[in-house]
Amino acid sequence: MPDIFVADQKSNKGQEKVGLGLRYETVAERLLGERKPNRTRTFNILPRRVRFENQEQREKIILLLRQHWVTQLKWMVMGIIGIGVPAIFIWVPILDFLPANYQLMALVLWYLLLIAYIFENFISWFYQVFIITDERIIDINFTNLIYKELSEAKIDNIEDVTYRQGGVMRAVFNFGDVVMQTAGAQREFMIEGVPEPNRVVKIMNELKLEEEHEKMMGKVR
Amino acid sequence: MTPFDKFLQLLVKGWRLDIVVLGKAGALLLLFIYFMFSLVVVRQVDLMAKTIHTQLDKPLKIAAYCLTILAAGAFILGICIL
Repeated sequence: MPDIFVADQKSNKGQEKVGLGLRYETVAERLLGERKPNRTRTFNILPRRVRFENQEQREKIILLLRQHWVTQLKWMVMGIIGIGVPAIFIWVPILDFLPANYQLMALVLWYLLLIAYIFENFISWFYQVFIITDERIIDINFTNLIYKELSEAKIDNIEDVTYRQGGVMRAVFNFGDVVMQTAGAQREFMIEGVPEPNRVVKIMNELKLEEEHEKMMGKVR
Repeated sequence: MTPFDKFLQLLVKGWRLDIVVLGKAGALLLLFIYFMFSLVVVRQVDLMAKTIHTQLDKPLKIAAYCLTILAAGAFILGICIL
């Protein structure tokens, strides 16, 4: 008896991914072309060789954010001025009443304090980061030398993402605050002085959509 | 002069504070505190690097150790020249 309908014998390998709503470009895949290598960038897309505490095996870091360098100008300028301060004593002999060896020690002490000041400020800025992964957001804060705070929220718990950008400096250098309202224990996450806040909000919204899509497809981790 | 008066005079003369000695003690104390602080910085960088691993972990750890060496060197210099 002749067959009325003969099924196509082609492989179904490709079709598995292309079916309705099954195949889509993830945020990580889309951002791959925008990745730029720099160790101290403030806006890091898919940073290389960066991992954080409690990171899951398959979890991908989408964004690593630090405060814009303009927000750090205060200690940078103070540091540069500090380098030249001892030169003032050449013209204004305030320390002349001290013996020569004491003057030398005062100079050594001054530069030691200056080095500590610059180093402390740099590491505080460098390690105080906000991480957005494909699953959650993580806020890492080091308030002082011995205090660490790590708070996180699942992306599907984020209800609202907004940003504000006010002031001349913020408009010129394109940085601002991003506020995320969550349904979790910590109600609000705020990233202060982050570069390109509009892009952060856009990426967050895309990640939220991706998470909803994964939920619909039953791919939730 | 009674023995008690002599004892009092010895106490007063013996405990007379010299401004130079005081300055030396102050400077050495400051340098010692700085050395302790540099050790805390090493610990802190280590803790930060454990929390988030980045490409700059190694250079920053080396810088923290250099700060400690510098602090120890300054303390020894203080003992020698003051």
